[in-house]
Amino acid sequence: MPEYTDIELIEMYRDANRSHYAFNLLVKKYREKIYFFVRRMVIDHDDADDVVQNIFIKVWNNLGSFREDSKLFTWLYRIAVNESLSFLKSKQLRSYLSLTSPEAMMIKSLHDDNYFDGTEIQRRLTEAIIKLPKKQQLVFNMRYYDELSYEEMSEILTTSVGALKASYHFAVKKIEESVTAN
Amino acid sequence: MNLRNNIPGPTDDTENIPVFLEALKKEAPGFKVPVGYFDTLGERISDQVNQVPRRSFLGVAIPRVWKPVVWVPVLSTVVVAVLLLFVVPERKTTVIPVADEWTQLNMAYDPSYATEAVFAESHEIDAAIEGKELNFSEVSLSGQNEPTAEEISAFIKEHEMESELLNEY
Repeated sequence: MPEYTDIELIEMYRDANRSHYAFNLLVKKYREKIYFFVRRMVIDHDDADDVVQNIFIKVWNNLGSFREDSKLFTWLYRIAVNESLSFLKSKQLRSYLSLTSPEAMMIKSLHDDNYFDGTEIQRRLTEAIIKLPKKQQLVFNMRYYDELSYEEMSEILTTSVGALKASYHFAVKKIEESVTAN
Repeated sequence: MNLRNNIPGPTDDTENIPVFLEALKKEAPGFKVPVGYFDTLGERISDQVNQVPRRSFLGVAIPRVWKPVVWVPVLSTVVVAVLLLFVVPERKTTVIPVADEWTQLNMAYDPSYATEAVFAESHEIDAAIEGKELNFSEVSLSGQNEPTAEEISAFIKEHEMESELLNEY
């Protein structure tokens, strides 16, 4: 199957006869990146699956109005960030009813997850990330795992590069403290 | 492929991450997915997408416009405008007559205004105008007769003034 650029995919999508084909190619191109980004935020596989499906349905509905003043990848990431945060917010509301903190629920979910086979140190790292404030969590995941540049992160999160660097610095410090303390 | 950018600047020390974090990056991620998950993900998304028709431009634009952050300020502006229209009393308009340019010019250069201004200075002049024909030898602006040349010469001699003063006068 040929590898299309983002611009070619968008042009193909705008042709009504080929929009489904273009969309399938787009899903195929970005599904893993988006899935693992969401998974690291929501931890549970089933939750990540729901969020990823919502993200791609939003992409289908709004790709027609996508303005090419930003990169498609950046736009996709922004949708993924918003959907992940919305999901975590709704989960937080549910946690008030169950009198358990959302972080505790996620750590429990990590322990019970059949689809996590990381080492002990990886589990500790993931727990440390869960305990971070959401903004630092996003910044750390984007920088450490997805290796995005600060400029790309700045465009996605609409935050200055300096603030992102500071967030990443604090996130790393907290993770180090948390992991070494255990 | 390493996409990390080396951003120059004083905050570069933020990139000094602990050794264990660097080491962990090289290991396989702890998260895994069910077998064949990504193969079926595309199909499942396509099934959902096929159930939902692609939204037209209006379908995309209207929900955006219909957000409270957009319609609340618009609605409040309309309400305030309507209240101002019905509650604030209507202003009475007063028409200030404005003389046209030619009239103003004529008024400025009409010599009769100047004559009137001079005559209005004293009652004696008014009386003169009303009672008898004007005799300017009897009338002066200060209300006294002007001195004659002889009277001035006599005054100078009397007060022994220099002759230049006479010429000046």
